[in-house]
Amino acid sequence: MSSADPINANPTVLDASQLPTRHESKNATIQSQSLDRQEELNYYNQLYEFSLFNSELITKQRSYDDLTLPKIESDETIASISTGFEDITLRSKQPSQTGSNNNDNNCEEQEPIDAQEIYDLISTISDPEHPLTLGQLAVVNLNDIEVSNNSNHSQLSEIIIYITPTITHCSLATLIGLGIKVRLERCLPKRFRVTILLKEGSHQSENQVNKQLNDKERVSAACENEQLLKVIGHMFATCQ
Amino acid sequence: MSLDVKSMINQYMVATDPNSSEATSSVKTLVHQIENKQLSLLNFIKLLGDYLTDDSNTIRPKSLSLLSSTLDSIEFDKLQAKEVDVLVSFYSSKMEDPQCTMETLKGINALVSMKMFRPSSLKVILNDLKEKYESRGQLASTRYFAFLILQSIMEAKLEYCQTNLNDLFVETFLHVAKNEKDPKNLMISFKLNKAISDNFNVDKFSEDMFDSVYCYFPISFRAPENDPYKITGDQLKQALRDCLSAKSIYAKDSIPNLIEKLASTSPTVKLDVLKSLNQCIENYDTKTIEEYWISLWNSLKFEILHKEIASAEDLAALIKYYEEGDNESERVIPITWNIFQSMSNKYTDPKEQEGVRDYLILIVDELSKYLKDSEDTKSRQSAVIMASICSANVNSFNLLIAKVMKLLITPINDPEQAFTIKKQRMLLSNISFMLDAYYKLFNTDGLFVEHNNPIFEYKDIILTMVNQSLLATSNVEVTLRCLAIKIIGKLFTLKSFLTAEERQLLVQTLSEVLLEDDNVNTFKQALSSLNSISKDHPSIVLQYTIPKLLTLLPDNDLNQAEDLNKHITNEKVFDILSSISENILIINSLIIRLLNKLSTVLQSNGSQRYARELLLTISNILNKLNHKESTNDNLRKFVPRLLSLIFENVIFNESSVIYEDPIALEFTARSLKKIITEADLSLHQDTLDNFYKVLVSGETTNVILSNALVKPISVLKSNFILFSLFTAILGSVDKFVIFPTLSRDFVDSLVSVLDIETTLSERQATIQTLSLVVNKWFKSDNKEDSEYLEKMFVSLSSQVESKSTTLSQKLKSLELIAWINKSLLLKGDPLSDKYRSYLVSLLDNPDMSLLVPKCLAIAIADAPCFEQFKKAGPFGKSTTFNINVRPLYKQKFFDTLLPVLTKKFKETNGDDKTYLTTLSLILNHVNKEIVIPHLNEILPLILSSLSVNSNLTVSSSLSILKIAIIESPHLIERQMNSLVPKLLELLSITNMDNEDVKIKSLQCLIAMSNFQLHLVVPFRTLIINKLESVLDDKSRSVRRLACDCREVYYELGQPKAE
Repeated sequence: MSSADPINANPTVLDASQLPTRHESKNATIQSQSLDRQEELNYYNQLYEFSLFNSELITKQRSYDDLTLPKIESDETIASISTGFEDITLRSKQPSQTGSNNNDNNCEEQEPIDAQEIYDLISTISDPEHPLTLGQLAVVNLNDIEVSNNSNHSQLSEIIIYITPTITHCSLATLIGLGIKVRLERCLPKRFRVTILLKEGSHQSENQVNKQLNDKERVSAACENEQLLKVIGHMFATCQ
Repeated sequence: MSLDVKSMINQYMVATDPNSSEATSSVKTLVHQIENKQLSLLNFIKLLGDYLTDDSNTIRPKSLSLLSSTLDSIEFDKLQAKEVDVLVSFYSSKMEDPQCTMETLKGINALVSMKMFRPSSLKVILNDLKEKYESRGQLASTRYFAFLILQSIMEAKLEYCQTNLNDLFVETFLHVAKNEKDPKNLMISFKLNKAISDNFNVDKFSEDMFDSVYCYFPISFRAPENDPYKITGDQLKQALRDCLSAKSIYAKDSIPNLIEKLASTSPTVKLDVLKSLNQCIENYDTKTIEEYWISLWNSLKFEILHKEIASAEDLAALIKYYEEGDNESERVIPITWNIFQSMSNKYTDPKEQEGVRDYLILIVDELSKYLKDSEDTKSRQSAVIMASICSANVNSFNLLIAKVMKLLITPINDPEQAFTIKKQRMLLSNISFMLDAYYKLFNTDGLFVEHNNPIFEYKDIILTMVNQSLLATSNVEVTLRCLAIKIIGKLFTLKSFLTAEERQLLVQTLSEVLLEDDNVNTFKQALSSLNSISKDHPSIVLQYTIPKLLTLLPDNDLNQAEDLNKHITNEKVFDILSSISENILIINSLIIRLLNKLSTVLQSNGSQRYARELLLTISNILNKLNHKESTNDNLRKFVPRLLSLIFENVIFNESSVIYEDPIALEFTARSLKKIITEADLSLHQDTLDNFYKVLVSGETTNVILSNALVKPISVLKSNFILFSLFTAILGSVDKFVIFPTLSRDFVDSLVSVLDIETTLSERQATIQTLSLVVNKWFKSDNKEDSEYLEKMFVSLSSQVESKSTTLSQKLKSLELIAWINKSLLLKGDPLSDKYRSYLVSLLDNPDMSLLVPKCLAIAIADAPCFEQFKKAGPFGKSTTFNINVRPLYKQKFFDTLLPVLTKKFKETNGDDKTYLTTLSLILNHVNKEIVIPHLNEILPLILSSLSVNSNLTVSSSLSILKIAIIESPHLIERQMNSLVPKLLELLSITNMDNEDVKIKSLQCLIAMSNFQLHLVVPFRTLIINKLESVLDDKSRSVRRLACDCREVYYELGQPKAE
């Protein structure tokens, strides 16, 4: 396909390492996990793994009165270590007390769906014309994704994505848009409304394409087309 | 006798198939009789006589076939010259019999290989072939014999043909080869063609010879499925190429024709053309190539110049990328480079070959406009072309490199145009290609580097540019800076390129980048370059990088938190230090310096964490020692200093930040372990004795201490915390060293320590020490040892079961049983059966059933004290030297335990979860290979355990389930109906913190999508719909996997994309 179109044959290609990732987007400088903390945790985990003197198990489960517990260090870390063993027996009986502090914190810590997550979902779609992904071709860009995630999950949330075709007369802009639409429909919960727009001035027939992409009827009609779905399926082959 | 022969002949004549056993056996008998002179050839032919002249078109060929087969099988020296002559003229006359061509050719082929065959007959035969034989209308197998005759002649009478029958032979070949289409015949035809080009004078026939093969070009043959000849298209293509490139005189036809074919739109053809061209250029002589140089260059250059070149800074990487490219149009690129290299290779003699020299310079001149402007779209392509040409041979390199470099650096001094960052980047990447050419010639090919190598003139400029990129540009220019760092790495690899001063300069620059630049990519790149440099040039790194890094570590870190401007944390420094410790010189010097730092930090009251970090870093750096390096010196010099410092702070100085700190001791123990296990085994006895003296016997001065202790130490009485060090030492010394005291007495003392109230870490270290002593110093064949353990078992088990003992006492006894069991199991002691069975029997004891699963899991869990270290033993096999361990103990344990568990599980109708819990705990510790043979038995348990309300059990079951899905799908296929809803149910639980379970369930679902389509399709809609709620999961990784899983099921049955 591309050979017919010499201008589009050589688009600027970004290297995969140049694409934005979650790691960078958090604006972290060099991230080094605290190695000593990890090792410390491992050490205590191992202690519990190899010892029968697991305080939680004994106290909570059977409350033996005559038990003299070994002296436990005052260090908080020990108390907060989850051994993973206690839940075998405890969950059913005392669900409220199980799970250590550490894990409870993790539970509450939601990881909301954000622009980077959307970007990760769609930037890996391959371009129908080139053996490259939409991210590499800068058809989708992290900055061109707007997410308003409603914390109340019963209400609608909205995503707007601006795509930039590689050339202004790209005949496949609609196909790319449709691909993104289908991908997000498959990968996002129903509460999200997805709008896909061409970036202003990036295409000759901008309005037409925008209209086509966000017309529910036309999109679902397109999804009835077996042939089209097959092409889209091929575009998704690089997504995992 | 003649009757006998007659019957043999008749037997052959009536056989329908000449390959049948009757036919071949009669041939064999006849051959035998002729070879033994029992039957003369004359008689044989006489007896055949009538048949040979029979009018029937079936009898005549058949009888001839008998004759030919017989001749074919007769030893080559059994026939008289006269007999051969007669037969030659006989066959010659038969050439006119079109029904008999095949048999005739076969017979002639047999004759030409005879010893007594007279070369003078060749003329007749060749003439017959040329005049009377007509390939058209003959079967492929018949035509094959015509080629075979020529081949046999060449093998037997090459010299005679060369001198007497040159033209006739070539003409005959051309006649025979005409119109051939069969692949097998073509192969032999091509081979003959090449052999003729090599051996005969074909000047007169060059065009015909060329045409006779070129008419097949390009070959698009693809072997059929059941091809009997096993000839591939590639073999044919290669044979054809061999013909074309055989002689320089073909150039006048081949090169123009091939160039013309280059215009083909099919990449396969193009690839074939380029490969053929390359081979021609390689084989033709220099004069010929010179003649076609211009037209070759003009038609080939666009293959590169008009292509986009992938983004790599390395010529080798580029070539690899393209050769592994999916589509053939990409593979055109490296083969074109090869052609340029072959052309450049023609420049073998700078003095004589002025023509080639001029042409090479012409290429540079033509590309100069691109090379000069690094921003030009064809600049990169031109640089790659020049790099290929320069890398081909040193003459071209010497001739061109200076010219190319001069052109490349034009932008630097261009007063009219600004030297932009982009230009700088492109320029550097072009220079990088030129360095690859240097690498190829002087490193890969190992050529000697002359001190006046022309590239040295440009070395300063390269170094300045690299330095400038790193020291004078903004940190934002990540690509440029990474590129510059990569080039530094490359420069270090080049043979005899950098001087010592230049190396120092570059390492300084790199160190600066490492500390100043906070971009992740730049940092990574700098670290990896420095890492590889430190392998070969440790002294420079030691001299420049390490002191710089160490000054960043404060003596006291307490005020550091406020210092927000400091962008390089201690952790990062430690990271860098561990990562560049690639050489024993660096390692040995670093651990000493870090130990000094630790001592200062402890004196000036740094934080506990800082002290721990230092100890951890020391152990991490030591772990980078490879197994060839000896740690004997460290044992002598480093260990005493380390121990004195640690004892002082952990045991005696109550105000120290690491006073009685188990973590600091754990990190220290790791260092000791590494040093001891890597030291010579001969030092182990002394090491153990010395440690025993200090830790147990209370010596205050010893060679393992650099300073005398203020007070004696005794692990058995008060300093229990030091057991973690003692375990590490016991676990690392050679198992053949002698224990300093009676091991049974020592175990007694340990048991009494275990009765004292201690911290959990002290208790664990003590019990592990005990377990190690039993494993290493109790002998299975020693009666007293066995009796001791028997007695211990009785007393422990009675304590567990007794009603009067406290729970704490029961726990202690049970724990001891678990650990003794472990140590016995590892060495395969017969007593371990007793311990194990006892533990299993406790599973039914309601008081203990909660704890026993863990005891059984401890048995096969990988405990750090039982870590195995290996040394090369006898017969070159590496053996574990530090503990007694049977190789398959886990498997044995699992195999004996599994039937018991499944049986008991069935007896309780699956109500008692103890067995499931035990199984899942054990499964966590065994390898896939051990589980797979038992999948059939385990699976029912696994499936029912999915309903157990415990994340741990479910998660462990899911791991096994995933293995089952992949390894033996047939077991799972039957369960799909219950399994899929079960997995989906697990995924729908929202309140629990069960990310791990969800991820594993999704992985199982994804793995199932590989089942046969008809099995999974019924669940497709269900899975897709049910997973929708998972798309809103709290955890990002669960959501991601759910997307992937849905995608897999959406695309179910679609052909997988390549």
